[in-house]
Amino acid sequence: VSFTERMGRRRNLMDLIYGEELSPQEIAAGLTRPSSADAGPSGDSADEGFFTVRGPGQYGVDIGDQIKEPINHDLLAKKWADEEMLDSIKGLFISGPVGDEEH
Amino acid sequence: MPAPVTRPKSDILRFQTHHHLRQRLVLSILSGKSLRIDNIRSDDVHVGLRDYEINLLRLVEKVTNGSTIEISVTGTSFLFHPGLLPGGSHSHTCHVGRSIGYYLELLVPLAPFCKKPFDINLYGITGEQGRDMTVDMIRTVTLPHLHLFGIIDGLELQIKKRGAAPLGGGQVIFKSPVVRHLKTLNFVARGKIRKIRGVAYSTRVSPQFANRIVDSARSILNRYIPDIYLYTDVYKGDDSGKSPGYGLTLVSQSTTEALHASECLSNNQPTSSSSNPTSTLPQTPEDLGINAARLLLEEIARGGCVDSSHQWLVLLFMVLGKEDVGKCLFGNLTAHTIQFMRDLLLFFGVKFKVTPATNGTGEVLVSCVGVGYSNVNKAMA
Repeated sequence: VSFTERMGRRRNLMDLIYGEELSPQEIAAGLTRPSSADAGPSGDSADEGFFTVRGPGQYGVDIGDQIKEPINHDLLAKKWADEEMLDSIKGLFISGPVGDEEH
Repeated sequence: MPAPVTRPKSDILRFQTHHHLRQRLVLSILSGKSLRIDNIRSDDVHVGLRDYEINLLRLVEKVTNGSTIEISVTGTSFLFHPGLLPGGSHSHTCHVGRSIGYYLELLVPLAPFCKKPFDINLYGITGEQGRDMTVDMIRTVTLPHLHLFGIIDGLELQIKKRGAAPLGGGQVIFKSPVVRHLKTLNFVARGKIRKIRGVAYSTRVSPQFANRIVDSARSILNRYIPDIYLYTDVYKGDDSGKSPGYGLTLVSQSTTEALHASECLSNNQPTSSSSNPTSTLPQTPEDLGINAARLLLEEIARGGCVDSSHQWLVLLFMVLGKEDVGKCLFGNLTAHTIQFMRDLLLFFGVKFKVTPATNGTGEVLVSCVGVGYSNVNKAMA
C-alpha cells in the first residue's frame, strides 16, 4: 500500500474511532469500511504488516481482555529478516543518517 | 437481576461480554459510575466468569472501600458499584490462569488516586508469553510512563521472587505514592533512539540460557547503536518459583526519553497462550532473543512518543489531567487503544482530537482537555 493511500485512509480517523461502523480491529488495520463489505478478509491489509485481523470467534475464548497485541511470529520473522527493511529504520537511531527522518 | 432501588438505572453503564473487563473496572472506579456486564461467555462450553476474573474482582473488592459486586448465578453477568480507594498495605495471591501483569495493569492506574500511599504484595506468575505484560515490562516501561505525569517519588516495583508459567510461585511488591493533580502532558517530539536496555531472566533452567538469549538479541540490535546493555537476571533456589522458564524484555530510550519496548518468553502452555495456530512461537533461547529484538524494531518503526502497549495509560492520564490541553504523539493506534478511547468517552465524556502527524510517518497527534480530576480522597485527608 502506498504511503499516500495510507494517509488518505487516515484522514477521517476521528470519525472512525467515534463512529460505530467499524470495530477497533478494523480501524487499527487501516480499513475505512467494514471488512464484511468485502468478499473476504481484505487482502492488502494482510500484506501490510505482521498484525492480522481476526474476528473474536477465531480467538480462544479466554482472549479478549489483553493489552498486548496478538502477534504472528512467522510474518514478523519474514519482515525483519530483510536487510533493506532492517536498514530502513536506521534514521530513527541517534547514530543513523542525519536529516533522514523518513522510514 | 434488578438494579438496587437506591440508584437510578440510568447511572449504570452496560456492556456486553468479558472483553475489556479490566479497563471498564478501572474507569468505573475512577469515574464513580456503576457498571453492569452481561453475556459473559454465554455461548461458551464453560459459561460465565473464569476463576482468574473472579480473583480479579476479589482484588478490586480488597483495594476499594465500599464496592459491591453482585454476580448472577450463572456467572454470565455482574453488577458493580464502585467504592473509594483507601490505599494502605495489601496482599493478594493472583490466580495462575493469568500472570501478575494482568492484575497490575488494573492496579497501576488506580494506585496514585488512593487516600494513603498504596502498597501491595502480589504472588503468582511473574511473566507469561502472550497476553499480559511481564513484571519486568511494568517495572521498566509502565512506571516510567507515569513519570510523565509527575508521579515519580515512591513509585516502585520490586521483584522478590520469579515464577514462570504455569505454576508461578513468584512474588512482587508494588508501591505507589498519591497525587493530587496530574501534570498536563505535552510530548510531541519523539527524538532518536539513543540506547537500548534489556533484561534476560531465567528460572529453573541452565543459567547459560540467559546468556544465549542476550547474544542472539545483540546479533540484530548491534547494527543500530553501540549503547546496548542487556543484563542477565538469573533467580535461583527458593527465589525461582515452581516452573522452568526464560525470557527477554527490551526497552529503547530516545533523546527525548520516549520509551519503546518488546518482550518474548518461553511458552509452557501451548493451548492457552498461542492464539494463532498458524504462527510458530520461538522456543529456543536463540530464537526467542531474535524474536524479541525484531518485536522491538517493529515497535520502534511504529513511531510515536509512547510504547504501543501504553497508549491507553497515557490517554487515561491525559483525560484525568488538569483542565488544559494535553498533547501527545502516538504511533499507529492499536485496536485496544481505539476501544479504550470509546470507553473513555462513555465514562468521562471526553473526546480526543486525533490528527495525522504532519511529518508523514503515519503517526497521529492526540490531544484532549483534561477533566480536572482531583484526588478527592487526598483532598479530604
